[in-house]
Amino acid sequence: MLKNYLKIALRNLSKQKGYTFINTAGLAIGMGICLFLVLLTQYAVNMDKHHENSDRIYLLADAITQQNGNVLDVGISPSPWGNQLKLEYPEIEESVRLLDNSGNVRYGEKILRQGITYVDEGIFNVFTYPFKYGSSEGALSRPNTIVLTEDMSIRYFANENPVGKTLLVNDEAFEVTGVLAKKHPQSSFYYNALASFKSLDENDYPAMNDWRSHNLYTYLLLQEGANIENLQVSFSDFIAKNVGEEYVDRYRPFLANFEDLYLYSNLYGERWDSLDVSYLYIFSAIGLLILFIACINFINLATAQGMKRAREIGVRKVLGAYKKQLVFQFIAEALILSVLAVIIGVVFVELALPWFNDIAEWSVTTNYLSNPFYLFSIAAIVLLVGTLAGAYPAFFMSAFRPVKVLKGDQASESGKSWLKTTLVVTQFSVAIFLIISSASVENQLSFIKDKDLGFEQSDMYISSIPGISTKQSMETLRGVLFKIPGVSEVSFSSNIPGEESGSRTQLYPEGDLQEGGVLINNYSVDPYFLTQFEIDLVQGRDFSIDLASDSISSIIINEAAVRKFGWEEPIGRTINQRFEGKDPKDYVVVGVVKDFHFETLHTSIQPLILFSDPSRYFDLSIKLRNADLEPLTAQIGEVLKTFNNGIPTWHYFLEDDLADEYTTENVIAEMLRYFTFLTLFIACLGLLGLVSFTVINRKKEIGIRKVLGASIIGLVQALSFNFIKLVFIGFLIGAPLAYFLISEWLKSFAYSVAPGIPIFVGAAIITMLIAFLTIGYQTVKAALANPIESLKNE
Amino acid sequence: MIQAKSLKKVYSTEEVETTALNSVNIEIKEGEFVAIMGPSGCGKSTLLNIMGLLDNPSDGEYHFLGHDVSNRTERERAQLRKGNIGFIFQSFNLIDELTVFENVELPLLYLGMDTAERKEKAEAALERMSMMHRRNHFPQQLSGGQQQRVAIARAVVANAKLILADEPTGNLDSDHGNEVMKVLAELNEQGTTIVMVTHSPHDADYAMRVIHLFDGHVVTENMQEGFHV
Repeated sequence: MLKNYLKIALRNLSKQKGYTFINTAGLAIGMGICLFLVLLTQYAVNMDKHHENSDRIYLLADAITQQNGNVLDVGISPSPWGNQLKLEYPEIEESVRLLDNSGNVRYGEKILRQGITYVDEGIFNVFTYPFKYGSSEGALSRPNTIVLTEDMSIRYFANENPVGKTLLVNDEAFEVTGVLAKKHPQSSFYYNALASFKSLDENDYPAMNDWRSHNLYTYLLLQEGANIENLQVSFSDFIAKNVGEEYVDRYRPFLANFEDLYLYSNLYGERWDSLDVSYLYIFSAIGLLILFIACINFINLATAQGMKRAREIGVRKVLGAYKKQLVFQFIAEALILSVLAVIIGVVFVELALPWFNDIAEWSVTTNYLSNPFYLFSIAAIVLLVGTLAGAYPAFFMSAFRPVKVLKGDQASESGKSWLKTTLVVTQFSVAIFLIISSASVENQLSFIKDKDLGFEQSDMYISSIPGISTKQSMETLRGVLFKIPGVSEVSFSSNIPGEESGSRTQLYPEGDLQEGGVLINNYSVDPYFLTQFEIDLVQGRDFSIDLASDSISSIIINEAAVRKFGWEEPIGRTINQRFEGKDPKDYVVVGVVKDFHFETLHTSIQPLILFSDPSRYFDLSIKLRNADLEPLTAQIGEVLKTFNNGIPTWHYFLEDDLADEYTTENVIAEMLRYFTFLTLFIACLGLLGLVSFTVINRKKEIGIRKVLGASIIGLVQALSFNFIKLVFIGFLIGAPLAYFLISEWLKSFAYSVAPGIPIFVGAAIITMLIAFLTIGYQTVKAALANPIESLKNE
Repeated sequence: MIQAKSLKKVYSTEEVETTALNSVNIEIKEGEFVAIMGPSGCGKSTLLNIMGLLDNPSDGEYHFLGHDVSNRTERERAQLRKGNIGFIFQSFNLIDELTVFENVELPLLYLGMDTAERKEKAEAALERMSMMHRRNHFPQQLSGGQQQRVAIARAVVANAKLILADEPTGNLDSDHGNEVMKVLAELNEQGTTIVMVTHSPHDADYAMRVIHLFDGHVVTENMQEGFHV
């Protein structure tokens, strides 16, 4: 019997090619998207879980109540806290500090500026890092030891084993004690090199013993079964005892689970990649909706198809088939189709992954053998779609009364009209929702791209300062660079505007904030920086090359800082910097710059302090004149190479880099674009199927109308109007929904542009047009048909 | 074999009630060949459907093979129908997606017969209708007469005791029509009871007895010349 079903199903599918195509294509797309999202979600959820103890690792975070009463959740903590916590609480098994720094790293003739993270030796007890060379045992237990990542090792030693060799970090010797194996792709954070924390002294790191200066990352490994709640509650005692009673209300440390950081963290100072989990929810919802639409398509078409198959059903019943057997037969057919669709869907996924991995910089793979969950999802989706989508038509069709259908009366048993209405409306609601959403996302992204950030970004060549740090060598480099025609300006700085600012310091400005101080972003820039980046001074003066004191005690602040500090007359005011056990230092404000977007547009402009400390000039910016860039950059590269002991330096253009700041948004825009297209495609397939069945159903009516003198245009109108009306209702549902969701999304930007009327009107017009084109062909064909053909069919 | 007493069938829609059959009394004995005639809409097909257990009467009694089947569920009717009643339709009603052989085999599938037995019986039925050479063709590749022969093969494959034919020659030209009628007559000679609805007096001549229906009533019952029950 099963063989008979299979045979009939396959013959039906191959006979009804159009029907099979619509159904398989729709289901395949829906299933493909769902499986694709299963993989992405699985990837995101398993981020960082490759560390053996990932569930027991916690980041020590702090909810800091600021002077103005606002609470800021920070992912950074003061240096002495972690160790003290470990001493006081037995449930804390290990505590490690991570302090990011950078320095000139030299091996033989090779000098490169490198990021170095200073960590406590317990890091390998907390995180799982396989070693390529050497071993984790005692790797960072001595001062001046360093463990390299594979990338950094290759940079200095090619493929040699460097263990035991010595690197000079800012002229200090570090022994390489190991090389880490390649970074696990599902790691949300990275290092370049890990140096032992013991290598640092108070001169290198003034805040080392400061209990209130939040400036490094502390990760704790808790005992199995430790009670997090109790631990967090007792932290206030810890603060009272170690920092001071008066800080109990100010600092409320808490533990952020390491596994959750990627998806759920929203902490100040994140040094890890993160993904807002709501994106996963939104895309999963879209995926399910698309699958749902494909399923309704299937149900509708199968039901409509049932009219064609009514005779078969009648004959089977006459010959003695039970209803149950027929239900089973149709569900089996749906399952077959669903298997066919999932195969195509899986191929879709395989094709989409390289594209996605490329734009999102992920490495999602379909490892069928080692990913039982994916296999399970494939099976589940087949069964679910097959039975759910197959059930309605199965019960509907198996209820046909043979007496009627065998007399050709089946037209009266056509599908329920509410189902068709729901289908078309749902499909087009989703399609319109997606069109509007994706247009709004694009709109916002181009708004960001075009937004005046308050500083010049075009033709800005950014590089590192190769192995030099004295004022003289910088001036020499400037002189050489200026000899290249096409170079118009050169400046040195610690940061480049528009990029995530790395450095925040606790400072104590005159006035209300004098007491508690405030954590402030800061740059170090040379006297040419502001001119080059066209950042306007609104008060006072720029740093001067002629005033040696500028690099020691002068600062420039932005307008946001002026507002923050509540100063009416900022020029001449002082800001104090102090660390426990060190002499405080005063800085005098000499100028105020207009606010510029030194961070991404996700955040509004924060207070910023510009120092002029040459020891922190890490970056070199060269403004190029509009010229042929290729040979010019090559020439600059050559010059920098000679200053870097013959080693090429990296470089990029600021504009490109700023665009990269919005990778997540770009990926979302790209995905939305495809999802929109696919949804429209499925919706049109569904519409096409429905229209063709409607036309078959109304063939006789069309014939009669024509005989009675109806015009072709009138007929096309009569046939199309109902569908267009449904599409319009779809718009009324989809558009407000899109508006609501997009407004929510835009809240993640400090600067945004709400989707305008053109987007909504455009979406409506596009959808109507596509719908009309879909319907048009069928209706025109039906209207042009010879009425005799349809009428003699009685 | 068949006893119908005061059969009544009423079709009702929201606004109209149509009485298709009214107080119909019929008895058909095993081995008979009965033709039912009458104008369009007189209730011929309704009567045939009730006889074939495809429909329940609204009122009255209907006995088939000694069972009272006037009010049975669809499942029970299907149970009784299987293997006992074969149908032949004006429009053949073969399943287009199945081959000739598979169409003929279908009733046996629903009877739950094993493959070997099905093959033997289906082939025998096709042989009997001289359609073996077409066993792997699809219905649409055959002429109307051939399709109807396949439909007859399907009706007899399970050794049905009763064959109900609804205008079996209605879609055929006279040559093919005669051919089909001869086959039915042969089946009857071999002992199969046949009830046939027809418009054609020529076809009705093959029957032993002709029942005339008009507006849902039996108006006359004639024994054909030369036939004796």
